[in-house]
Amino acid sequence: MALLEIQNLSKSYPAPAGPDTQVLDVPAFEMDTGSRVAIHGESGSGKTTFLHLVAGILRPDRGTIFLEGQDLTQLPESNRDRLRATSIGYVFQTFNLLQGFTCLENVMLGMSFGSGVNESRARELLEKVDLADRLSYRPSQLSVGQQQRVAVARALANKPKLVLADEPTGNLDPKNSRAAIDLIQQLCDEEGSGLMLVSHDLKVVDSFPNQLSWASLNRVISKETRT
Amino acid sequence: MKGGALWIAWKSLRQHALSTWIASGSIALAGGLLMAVWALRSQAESTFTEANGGFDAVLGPRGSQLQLVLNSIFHLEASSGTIPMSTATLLQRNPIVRSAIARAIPIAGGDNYKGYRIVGTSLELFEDHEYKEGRKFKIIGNGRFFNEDAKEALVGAFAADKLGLKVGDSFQPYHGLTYIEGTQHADVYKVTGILETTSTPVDRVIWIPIKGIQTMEGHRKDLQNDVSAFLIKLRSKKAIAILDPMFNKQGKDYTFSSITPVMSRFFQKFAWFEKILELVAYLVGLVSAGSILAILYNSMNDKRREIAILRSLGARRVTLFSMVVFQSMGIALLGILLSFLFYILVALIVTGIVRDQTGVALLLFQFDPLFIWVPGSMLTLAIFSGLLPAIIAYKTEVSRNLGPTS
Repeated sequence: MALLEIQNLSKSYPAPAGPDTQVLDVPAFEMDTGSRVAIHGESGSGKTTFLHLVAGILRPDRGTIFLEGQDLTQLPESNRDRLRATSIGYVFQTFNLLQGFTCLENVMLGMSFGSGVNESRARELLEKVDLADRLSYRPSQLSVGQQQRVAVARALANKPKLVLADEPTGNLDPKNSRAAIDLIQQLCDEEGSGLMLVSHDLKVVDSFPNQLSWASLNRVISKETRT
Repeated sequence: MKGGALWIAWKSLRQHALSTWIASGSIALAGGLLMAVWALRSQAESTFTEANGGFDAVLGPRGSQLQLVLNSIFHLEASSGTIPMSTATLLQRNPIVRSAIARAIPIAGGDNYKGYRIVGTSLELFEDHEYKEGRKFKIIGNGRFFNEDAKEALVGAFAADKLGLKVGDSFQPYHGLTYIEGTQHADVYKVTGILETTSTPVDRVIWIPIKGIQTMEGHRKDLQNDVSAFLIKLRSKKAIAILDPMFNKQGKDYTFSSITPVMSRFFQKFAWFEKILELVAYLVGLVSAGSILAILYNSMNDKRREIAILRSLGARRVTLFSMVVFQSMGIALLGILLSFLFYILVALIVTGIVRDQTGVALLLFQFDPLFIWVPGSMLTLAIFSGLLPAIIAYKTEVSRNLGPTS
């Protein structure tokens, strides 16, 4: 069974004046359990919206999103929250760590709304991302590379079925960028999680076995390109 | 505790510790002030009204009823004059008065020892009278009551402690109610007993035989048969209705002062002051509620991103709503805890001052329903103050607040 199956997904945003602006029109997309997919596209082309739809943060105007056979678009918000907490991990470009929490607490926070807090697993994950000696550090006391590693550990805290990575290397230098991508892939492999990464950077996408162009997926972009 | 709205709320309060302490401090001030004002008012009124030394009324010279009670029962204020000791005989002769009065004990004042009043009285006060129902005066240790014909003294527990007097010690009284060096009488008194603590004004007094005051060297000879007042125990309080008009309206020589109503009227004079303090406390309470609202509301602008992050991690709207309410409750609970510390501090200071000045022990540490409803009200107010920020948290749009989009 496919991990993720999307059909006729469409999303528009209200425009300040005139008709709504359509940002996304994905006729079909599929991803197998445990697979890794990288989507390449320009900044501001709707990739984040796509990930938000997959994560159940946004509701599409139409279409279906099946995650492990369950249609997210038909679920009430609280169920989508629950599903996101248990089955989806999210890695952001700006890391989105909570500043008042330590590294360990940030990872535990990732468990709070899902499987429940398991401190030993949080420690184990931070050891895996080579931050065993930074457990009690706050994000502001870490380098950007280290912050991203905490974010990766947090995304995997609940052993999610799917990890969504939105420009995870956008704030990193090339060396850290390479290391972060390797780490995300390695951990997803170890945890058996599927990985969907979106990036504008071809070098990042190149390391993935499955690569897709956002323009080929999103008919809104392809139409714009044609015109 | 780790995980969940409560944990996140706790962490957030710690992260914004200064704001938390400021808001909690204002709640503490409001709650502590309210509790202190109300507890003090009710305790002071009930204690002073009941601290009548087991008497119902005072009969003294013509003058102010309040002054008579304050002077005779609380040993504050000066006496407005004297009345003849033979008044006792007059009281006995009148059949209405005789049937109404169970006991009339004379007292005479006018001297002090290092600021503590010396009051002359009869042994009846110590041997027969109950200063509270079922309680008579007792001597600590091996002492004894004074001999009415000797220059002997009984010292109240508080006065003995402060003056360092003990059985066998001698002292020379000072003239007048205020301690002025060089105004000592020639008479020398010997302490025969220290009274057990009664938590009444008696504890601050040095008691000597009434003859001692009347015949003290240097006192006016023409007043040697006078007393300051008679402390009166009635057979029934109904007798007040007969004695009050008899002495205060029909007669012109005496003032009959019923202790409880006089003290109640005395406390009513301070009602305006209590109202002002109460109003101040209410205002501080409102300010504290406003400060919680402002702190949480302002922090919401900074927290929209944090809230969006938490939502992206799977936090439900209701969890975030609860988180903010827990924060306001946390601020309130800390404030309530501090308000009790504030109250304890005020109570310790006030009870100490009142004990020092009057000998009366205010019971400010016994349970009072206001210890429940004041904190309860503060908590409710805080929860209401947290509702608007909580609604903002509830409605925060995740997608718009998560950061850059690609």
